[in-house]
Amino acid sequence: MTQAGIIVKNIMSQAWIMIMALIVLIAFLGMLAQVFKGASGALLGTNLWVAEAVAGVLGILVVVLFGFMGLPAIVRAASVGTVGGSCGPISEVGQFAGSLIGAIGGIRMAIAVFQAVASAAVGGSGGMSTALTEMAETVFGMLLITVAAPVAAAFFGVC
Amino acid sequence: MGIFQTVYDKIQLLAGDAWGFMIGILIIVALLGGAYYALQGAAGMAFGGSKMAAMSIIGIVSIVILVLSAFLLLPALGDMLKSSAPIAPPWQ
Repeated sequence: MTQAGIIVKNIMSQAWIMIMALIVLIAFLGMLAQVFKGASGALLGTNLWVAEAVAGVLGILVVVLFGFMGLPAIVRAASVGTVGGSCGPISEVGQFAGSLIGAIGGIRMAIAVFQAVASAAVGGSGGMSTALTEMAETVFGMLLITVAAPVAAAFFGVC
Repeated sequence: MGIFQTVYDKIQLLAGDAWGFMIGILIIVALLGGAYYALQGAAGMAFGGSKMAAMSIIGIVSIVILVLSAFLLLPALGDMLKSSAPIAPPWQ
């Protein structure tokens, strides 16, 4: 069980690193696209485009910094209260499930941030609210697990 | 990046191509904008339209500022983002 958990978590760690690198790539391209929009606006004399482009660059920056600074803290905080308080096979299964749920939650939230950055890169705003909703869902689900696991442990007979 | 390295390399290659393409387009648009505003300013001066000349100077300056921000500010911002990216996953 422990070996399987290590392998799965290793794959998820690699996926996490790749998503973070993709966020940087998309942010780069998005900011350049916004500058291009601003330059086109300046060429055509449309102040609104230039203002939207400046706001777009700042928006991408804010979303990416939130993803890089806030996301690890949220994942760590939500993973703190994972399964404990039991012994025997149920403890091992619980620890395996807890660490796996934390990793899956982290990946889901990273994907949500990626979607938000991609949405901000093309000047949309809907992706950000979807990403925040998904993060809240993940955190809520991880908190529910901390309640469900002791109940299951009691059902199977804790020592 | 382990098993995802191959996929990431291909995406990075595509992103690099897209970056070069967009930089080229940006330079073309800036040159066209500069030419347009220069023409507007020259026309304004030809028949005494001082407002047209002033607007054209402002337009050229704004395009130069935008393009300079793309070439100087964006790489600095990108370096900052790259350095602040979390390398290790939070569950490790």
